[in-house]
Amino acid sequence: MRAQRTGGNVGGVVVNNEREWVLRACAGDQAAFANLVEAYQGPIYNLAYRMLGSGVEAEDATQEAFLRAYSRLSSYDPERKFSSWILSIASHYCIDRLRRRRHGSVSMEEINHWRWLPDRRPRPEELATQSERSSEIHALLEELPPQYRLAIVLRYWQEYSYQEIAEITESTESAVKSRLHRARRMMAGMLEEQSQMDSVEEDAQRSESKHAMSSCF
Amino acid sequence: MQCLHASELMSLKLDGLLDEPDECRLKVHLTRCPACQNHWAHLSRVEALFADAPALVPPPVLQRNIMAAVQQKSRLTGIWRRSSLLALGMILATLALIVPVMLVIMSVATDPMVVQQAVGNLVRLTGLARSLSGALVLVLRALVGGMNWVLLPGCLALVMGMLLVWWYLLHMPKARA
Ligand SMILES: [Zn+2]
Repeated sequence: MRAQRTGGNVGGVVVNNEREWVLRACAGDQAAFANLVEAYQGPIYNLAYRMLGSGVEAEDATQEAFLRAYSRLSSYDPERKFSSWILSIASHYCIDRLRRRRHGSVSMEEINHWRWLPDRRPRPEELATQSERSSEIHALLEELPPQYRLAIVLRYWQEYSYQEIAEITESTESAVKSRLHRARRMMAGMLEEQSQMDSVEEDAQRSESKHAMSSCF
Repeated sequence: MQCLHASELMSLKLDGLLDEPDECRLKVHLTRCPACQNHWAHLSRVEALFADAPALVPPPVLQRNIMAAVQQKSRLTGIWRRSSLLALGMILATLALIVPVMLVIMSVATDPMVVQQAVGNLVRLTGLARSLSGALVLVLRALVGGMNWVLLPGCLALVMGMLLVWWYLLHMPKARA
C-alpha cells in the first residue's frame, strides 16, 4: 500500500554486514563507512527530500548527516539500530534547517547552493516526481510544523512504527500518535478548503457563462 | 462520540492500530455524522496521494561526494589533532627546559636582583615559545589543510615572533650585565 522502501533495514533490504561495517568504521575504516553510506543514502535522501522539498537541499542534508555521523561514530551505541541513529541525526539536521529557514537566517553555503542557482536543469528524479503529483504532496507537507512533518515522513516514506518514530525523534509514542493525528487533520483540512475553493470557482464560472449566454439572446 | 475523538480513531485506523470495539464505534459514528464522513474522505485522499509517491533514487554522484567530504574531514581532523599535540609538546618542552635552569640559577646566584631578572627573562621566554608554537600551528594548518584565510595572520605572527626573539637575544646580555 505504501511507498516502496529503499536501502538498509529501513527499506525492506536488510543490511547483513551492518554490525561489522559499523565496528570497522568506528575503528577508522573508510571503506566500511562507504558501505554504510551506500546502504543508507537512499532512506536519508528520501527523508531530507520530503522534509526540505528540493533535490539540491536533500543532497546537502544527506551529505551533512553522514559527515556528522562520521565525526560522532565514537559515541555510537552499538546496541542501538544504526538506521535509527543515522535517521535521527538527519532528522535533527532537517528540523534545524527548516527552523533557520523560518527565521530567515540562511547560511552563505545554503544561499550558494540553492538561492543563487535556480536556473539549473531539473534532475531526472525531479522530473519523475513532477509526474507523481509531488507538488501537491510538497504543498501539503510544507504547511505542517517541522515536527509534524517529520512524523508523517517517517511514517509514510520510511514505514516506521510509532515506537521507532519516537526513538528517532526522541519523544514518546503518545506524542507521535498525537503529531500524526494533528498532521493528518491539518492536511485533510487543507484538501477540504481546496475543494471548497474549487467548487466556488466552478460555480462562478458556470454563472458567468450563463450570464454570457443570456446576454447573447 | 465527539468528532475530535472520531478523527483520532481515524488516524489510528490508517495506521492499522484500531481495535475492534473502537472500529465499531467509529463506523457507527461515521454513518450518522456527515462532517466526519467528509473528513474521512479527505484523509483517504491524503493517504492515497502519499501511497502513490514512490521512493526517490538519490543521484549517482551523491555517494562519491559524501565520501570525498568524509575524507577531507578526517584529513583536517588528523591535522588538527597533530598540530594541537605539537603545540602542547612545545609548551611542555619549554617548561622542561625552564624549570631546571631556574633551579640552577636559584642555587648559584646569591644576589636577589640577578634571580629576579633571570625569572623575568624566563617568563618572557615562555611567552615567546607559546606564541611561536601557536603561529607554527596556524601556518601548518593553513598549509596542509588548504585554509588560506589563516595563512596570512599565521605568517605574520611567525614573523613577529622571530623579530621578538631577535630583539630579545640582542638585549638579553645587557639585561644580564
Ligand atoms: Zn463526527
